[in-house]
Amino acid sequence: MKSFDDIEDVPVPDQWDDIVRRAEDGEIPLVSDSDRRRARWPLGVVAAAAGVMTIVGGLAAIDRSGDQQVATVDTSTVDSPADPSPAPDLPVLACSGGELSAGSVPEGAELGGAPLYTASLVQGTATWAWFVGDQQVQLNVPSIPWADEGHPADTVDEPAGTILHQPASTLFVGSSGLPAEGGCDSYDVMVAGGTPDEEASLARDVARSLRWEPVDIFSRGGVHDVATARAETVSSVGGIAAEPGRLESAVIEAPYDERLREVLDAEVDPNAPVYISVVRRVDGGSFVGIDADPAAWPDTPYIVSVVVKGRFARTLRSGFATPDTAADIVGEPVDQAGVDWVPSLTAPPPGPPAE
Amino acid sequence: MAEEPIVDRVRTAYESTHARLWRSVLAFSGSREIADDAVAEAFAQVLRSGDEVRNVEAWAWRSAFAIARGELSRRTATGPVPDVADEPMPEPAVDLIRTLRQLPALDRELLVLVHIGGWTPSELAEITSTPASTVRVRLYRANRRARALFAQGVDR
Repeated sequence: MKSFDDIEDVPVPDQWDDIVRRAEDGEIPLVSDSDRRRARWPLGVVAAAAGVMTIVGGLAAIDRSGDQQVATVDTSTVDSPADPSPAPDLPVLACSGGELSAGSVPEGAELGGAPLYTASLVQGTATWAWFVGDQQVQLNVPSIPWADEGHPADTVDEPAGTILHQPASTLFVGSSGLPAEGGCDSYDVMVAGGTPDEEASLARDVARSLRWEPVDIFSRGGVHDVATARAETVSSVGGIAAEPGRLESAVIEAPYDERLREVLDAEVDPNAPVYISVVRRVDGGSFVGIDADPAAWPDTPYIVSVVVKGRFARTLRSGFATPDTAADIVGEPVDQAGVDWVPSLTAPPPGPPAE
Repeated sequence: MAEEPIVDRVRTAYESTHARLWRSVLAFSGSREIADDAVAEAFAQVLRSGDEVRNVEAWAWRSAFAIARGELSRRTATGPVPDVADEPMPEPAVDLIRTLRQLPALDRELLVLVHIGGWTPSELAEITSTPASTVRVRLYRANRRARALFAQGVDR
């Protein structure tokens, strides 16, 4: 059986001389011509772009925001790598899954148009730029890297993200909630012009205006969208029922206890809900189960809920996990037609397995 | 006490973490070329940035993986990534990389960070301001998928 230790047999090159040479040569061009337009971008700011907002990809999809809301749009106008609109010297949008909706980009935003600076460091970053009055705005997807180098940073809840106050600009760095594989998991809105408060205000306004396709439950925002959904009122449910074809995901929502601690090696508060995605959407309206093994924690009460557009949920099944119920959950596609939608908050308490 | 010059700090970090970082990026990307470029560029960024960088090692890891991820994404979008068999390396390592390639990128990165990079879930949680439980859940799921692949071998 293979082991991660096998990689230890690969000889590692000595790269020190190459590193020093690169540092001296400054091979990677970080500053665009637009610096001429806005001279108060010091190199230090560019250097700030050389860190990374998120931990490397494997963690990039993990929620860190707490209660982010993920808005939704249709997918009919989706950018793809084949989109001929990007400027030739800018990276093509790397969202291979097509999650980034062109319709979500603020009016006036031009892909690759006169950015504050070009995010050439991370290949695949797509950049939109535009003006709002005298303020220049740049949207980067995924977020261009930045480093914590002592500039003031504020965590904000609405929209969820981080405000980074740099000497010549203000960034709002947020999570789209999209999978990292598509390259759209993170974004930042960079504003230059005005006071720091004015820049932050506009950056947050732009961030609020963005619309992203819904999420895998383990992407940023996914879990917390469920939490948000549970706080919604029943009065909105009718709208969901009238919109078939929007089934997105589902979760197992189970109270954490010692059995889950053993299974998940997790450290969470007793009785805190644990969410585990169990399905993926197929054909736009049905879903099939994936990677779910409730039998791994037998006799744990659980609720399987269907998440609709990250906002509402319907209890699909509740009971005590057994191999049989796991098969019920995972095995068969489920059609959402005729679903009696209710917010998961109002779901009945766990009971015996449904027949 | 005067702060250590940036070159010395980078050199110290290079000596302590370079091998782990390079192998981790190699396992993630499956490309020696990407690993070479991403890791060298990450350390070079630190040198260029001077004393603004407070944690050289953390910067290098984050930047190297970000660059590798971007490059991998770009190559995937423009054509197939070269097969790892073309890389001069021991056969068990080739098998490992081929196996890892069957995993989702998120799983693959998390696995190499932990199992090759040596990061603990708690450390990763702290770095990312992510609940440790979330990291562990993801790791649990990734490990499970990896074990299944490791057990069954790679289809060639």
